[in-house]
Amino acid sequence: MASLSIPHRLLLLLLISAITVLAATWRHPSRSARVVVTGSSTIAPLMAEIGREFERLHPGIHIDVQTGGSSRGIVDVRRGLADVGMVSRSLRAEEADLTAHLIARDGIGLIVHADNPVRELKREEIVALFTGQLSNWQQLGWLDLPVVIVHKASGRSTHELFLEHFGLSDRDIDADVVIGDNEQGIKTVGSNRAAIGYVSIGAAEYAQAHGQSIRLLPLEGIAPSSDELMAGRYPLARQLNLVTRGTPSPPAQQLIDFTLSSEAAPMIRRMYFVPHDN
Amino acid sequence: MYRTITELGIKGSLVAGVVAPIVLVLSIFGFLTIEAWPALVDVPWAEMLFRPAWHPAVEADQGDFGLAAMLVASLAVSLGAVLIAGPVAWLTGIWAAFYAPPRWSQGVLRCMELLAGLPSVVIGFWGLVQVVPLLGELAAPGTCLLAGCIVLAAMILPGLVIAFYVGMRGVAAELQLAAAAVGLRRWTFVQRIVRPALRQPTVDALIVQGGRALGETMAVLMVVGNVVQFPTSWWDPVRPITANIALEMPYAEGIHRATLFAGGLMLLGVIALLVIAMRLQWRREGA
Repeated sequence: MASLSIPHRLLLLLLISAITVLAATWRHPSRSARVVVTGSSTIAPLMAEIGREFERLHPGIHIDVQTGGSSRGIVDVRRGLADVGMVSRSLRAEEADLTAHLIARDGIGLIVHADNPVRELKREEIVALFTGQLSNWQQLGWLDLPVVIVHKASGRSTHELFLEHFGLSDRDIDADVVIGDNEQGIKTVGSNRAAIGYVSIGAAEYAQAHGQSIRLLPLEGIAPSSDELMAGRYPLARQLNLVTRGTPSPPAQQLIDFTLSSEAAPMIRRMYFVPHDN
Repeated sequence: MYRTITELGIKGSLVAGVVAPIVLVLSIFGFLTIEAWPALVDVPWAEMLFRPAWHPAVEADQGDFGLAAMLVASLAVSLGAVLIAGPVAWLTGIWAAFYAPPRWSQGVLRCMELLAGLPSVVIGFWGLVQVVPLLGELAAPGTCLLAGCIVLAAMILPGLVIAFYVGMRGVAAELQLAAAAVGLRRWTFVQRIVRPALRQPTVDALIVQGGRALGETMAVLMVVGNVVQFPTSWWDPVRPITANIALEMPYAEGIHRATLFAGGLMLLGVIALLVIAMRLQWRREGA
């Protein structure tokens, strides 16, 4: 070994690393079963995580998760391109040929800073706030403080659901801060007395329990809590479904059963969704 | 035989070393173009380049796909960072190279190396919990263009200080003794000899670090407010192109997604222009 020159050692090293990489990535063209899951980008990260855990527990079954929106999930399942579709809403009447498996609910809560004394906002007031017609907290009986509107970036499911619920278009919103994920929204509202925003209820409850100075506001008289969400009473919410057509293949059925089991519930909660209570 | 194999190995590695970056740049450019293709075909270029309205949708005819405000924001936030960090780094460099006792200048340089090694998310977090609330005291909510400039300035400062310091020591080694021998004061030496000698390296360092600021994402995203609009003051929230990509990519589909890649392509174009400008200046200086 000592007699090898440096370039030789380099070559040897390259060879060894190439073999290692090959060995690590090599897959037998095995007879393992494959479950293809496509659809909603809201559910995809969750299913990817659940899929990994499922693969660990069932060696030989490979879970392939792809996004492309709820409508792709429905189309793919109908055409037989996917075994399981991910659909982040309830099924429509014309989709009765499919079977929905409710895995969780996703709800959005309005949050303000903990110092904010406003306890409830009417629907019109929320619309006026986000469109810039109400621009000072004084108009809502608090201090002379310009309102800071915290809005979500386009493409996020929360963004879409919020706009749809209040009948708004993205062009109408007069935002002061635009945020990405829930944590960023919570930090922004928690560090600014004048802010109001909306985030996933699960994330807000978690942050509140861990000392963030934010408060969730009730919506249309209903408290934004996991309990109300689970009961289906909270208005600004939607279902997260897995859909299948006819009798699913045994591995697909196993995956659905696993997703609905209590083993998967902690993973669902970690994504700030409320697992469906079976 | 032994010799030839060795030489072959060396030559092979050299060729690979030369080819790899070219292939890398070309493949990144190709990949961006392929991903951006639907937008390049369906969205009018004039809309992307000159319109500020950004309300993306999956289909081209349902949304607004203007990247102009975000391009201006990217340029403004980088320029601001260079304007803040440049003079500070220049003065720090002079102090460390000519005025400070060696122990102090070494201490400052070690600090700069430490700062250079900090992950950008950490600097972004510093911006979010320290800079933004401070600016918020002056003008709520504090998430604004200026906050982005300050955070980026902190990120490019170490690179600038080290580049300036190294350049100044290089000049000093040759000329400092001669300057002292003819009785020049230190400040005169800096002004009359160091400054002209370092003009070109200084511009280069500013361009390289400005380019780095242009591409920075996470730290900026956390402090600039991300509202899509042309900035009219340092206190306006803005959304640079990089922040836009990071914010919307995870959930974007169709034309929306393609337009995000088109934004990346645009940024690559701006950086290419910067590099070309730098080359042209080198050539002029060389002539």
